[in-house]
Amino acid sequence: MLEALLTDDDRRFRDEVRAFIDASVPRDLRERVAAGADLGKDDYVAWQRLLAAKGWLTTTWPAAEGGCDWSPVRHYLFEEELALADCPPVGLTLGVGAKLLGPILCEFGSAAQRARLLPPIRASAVWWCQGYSEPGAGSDLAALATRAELRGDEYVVSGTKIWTSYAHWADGMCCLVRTDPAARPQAGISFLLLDMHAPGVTVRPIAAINGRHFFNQVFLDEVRVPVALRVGAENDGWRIAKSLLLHERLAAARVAETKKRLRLARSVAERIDFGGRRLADCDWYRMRLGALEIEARAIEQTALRYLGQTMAGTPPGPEIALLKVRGTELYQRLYDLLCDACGEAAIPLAPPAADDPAAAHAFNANRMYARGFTSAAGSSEVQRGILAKSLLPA
Amino acid sequence: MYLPQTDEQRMLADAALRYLHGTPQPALGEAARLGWIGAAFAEADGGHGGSAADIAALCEAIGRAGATLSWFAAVLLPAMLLRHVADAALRARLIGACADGSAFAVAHQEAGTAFEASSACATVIDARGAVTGVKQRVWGAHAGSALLVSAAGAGGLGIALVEAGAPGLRFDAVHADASLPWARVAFDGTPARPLITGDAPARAALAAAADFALVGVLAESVGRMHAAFEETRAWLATRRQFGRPLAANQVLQHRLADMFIALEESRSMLNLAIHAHDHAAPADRGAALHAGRVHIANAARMVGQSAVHLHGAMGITEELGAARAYRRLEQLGAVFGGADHHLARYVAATGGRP
Repeated sequence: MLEALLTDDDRRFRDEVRAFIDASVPRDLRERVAAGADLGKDDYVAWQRLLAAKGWLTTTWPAAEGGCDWSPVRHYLFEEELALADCPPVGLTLGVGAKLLGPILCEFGSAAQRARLLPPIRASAVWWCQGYSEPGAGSDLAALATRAELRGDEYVVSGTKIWTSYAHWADGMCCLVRTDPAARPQAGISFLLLDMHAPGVTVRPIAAINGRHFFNQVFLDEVRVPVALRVGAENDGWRIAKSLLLHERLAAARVAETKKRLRLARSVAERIDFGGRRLADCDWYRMRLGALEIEARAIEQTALRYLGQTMAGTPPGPEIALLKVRGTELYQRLYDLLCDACGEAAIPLAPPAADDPAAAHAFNANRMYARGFTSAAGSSEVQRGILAKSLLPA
Repeated sequence: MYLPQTDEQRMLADAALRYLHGTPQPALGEAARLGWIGAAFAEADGGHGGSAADIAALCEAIGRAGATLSWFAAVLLPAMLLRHVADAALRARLIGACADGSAFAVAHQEAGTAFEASSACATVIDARGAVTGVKQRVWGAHAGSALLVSAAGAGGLGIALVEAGAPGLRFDAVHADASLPWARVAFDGTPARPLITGDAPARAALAAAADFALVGVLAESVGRMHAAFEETRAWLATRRQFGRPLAANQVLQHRLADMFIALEESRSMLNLAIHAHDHAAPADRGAALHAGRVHIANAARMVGQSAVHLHGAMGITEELGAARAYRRLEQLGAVFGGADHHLARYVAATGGRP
């Protein structure tokens, strides 16, 4: 139980977060998130600026750089409260600046880089995207081939990045590039910050399985990047990119998002007619939902156990990888249940039927989207490989 | 849930593990004399524990060591029932009874698939305190056991004490398997001493006893799973086939990873069940215990069956620890109702809540 890990201070903090949500987050925004609507850039930027005004956009940064000096428990609590209240996500996909690049700059960036790049991120005045994957380098990211050659005080970057979420909104890209083709794959990679408005950058949209646009392919044709925008040493990019915060590894369990959808699965079933009975009264549905709830508890209790261990000074090791495996797989099955509950109503029609009782189309769209969770950010097989490697001798 | 053991719990578990590695089949009295029995009793009753956290630490060690010792049946069930129905003197007697190798056993179940599911009570107690009826599967009972028997009388259901060797008492079909001893017990005008009377308090006491014993079952299951997992992990690392270790095969690596995940989650759910048992409000407590049961029974099956499978033919032999662990895990998964039963109870307990 999270409650068991909280101090009185944490509880007061939780009240503060709830008061902020009630007072400051527009109700219609939360309703659209709850309905699974496709939000626009303006929505996300407005939301990030709301958080920024409260000092809560860049929570994971060091306090000296405008972050919050929170305990792991408080980070967890904060994220859970926002998600349960249907606030829009600010994670590694939709908050690349605040959640990915910011912490990296704070740890690996030069004083000049921090001074120049952190303030606009803190104010959500720029949109960053993450340029890691390539057509030939997905789970095997170290196979990336985008080449950066040093010419004077500039890198000239050519290649292509793909599955680049929200590149079409982005001002900048955190880009992994190959700077030493002769070195072993991990050793020849550098971390560059690339201007998406620079000559030579072309963004091609890729339509996704759910009919929405977030993916892109980005073509880089002799794009010039000043050396001053390389983060860390040349050929040290792999280590930088791999530095994920504990907090993000816990978040991979998707505990709060899953809880919300379990609630949804209960409330939706109240309104669905299943052969003359309410779906909520059908044993098959109740058992299936109950079984998923129990699995969700097992994942949550494991995340909380690791959180408690961290607070006690004995943080988890590689076993934390199991949270992503189980959290994403459960999340997918929960969307299967939501769609099964809606039956034929989940089949997408254009335009959607006016009497769609349960936002079934959004369920279906999000079900399709969530299929990516088990392949993105270290596939389930990569995670199981990490676990096995820690369990078996080399 | 994060629930670190106290120093006392850790010391007890370590001592039990060491002892059981040398003596995997201790008699109950032997285990009692080592002081383990005290974990099931509060200090006021002469024990040194009494919480679910205390008994879970010991039961997990029993499971880890693969000991054939049915603590949940021989100790936990009667200890908690006595806490609800008996005075201090009678409660103190149980510790003594265990220490000399006899014990109390709880005679409740008549029909149904499990103790927890048994609601009918055809056994009767008359105005003079004489009990007549038949009880099925009395866990941990042998001819020398005193019995805590549920019986219907004029005032509703009650719990009464039948002394060992009382007239009209017959043990038949005594099942001697050391791993899960039980007996069918018949009463025919057997004199008994009523302890409590009334449907509500009697059922509450039986349910409390079953809950306490269930936590012991879950803890032993986690210990057994741990042992089966470790044995399998070592086997994959050392066994060579097709010129390389089994561990070189990705499909086997991933199966081991899934066993590990099941074990890790089971540990978290055990902690939740322990904490809920000792501290939660009744509604949350029930839901957490049912959820723990469902998850751990399913995980135990997956881990046990995988351990058997990955050992090949050896997996279905008596001599393999993991094989015995699996067999035991299925026993533990059936007592007090299995995963399906508790899923239905979980759904009923949480049905109206968002």
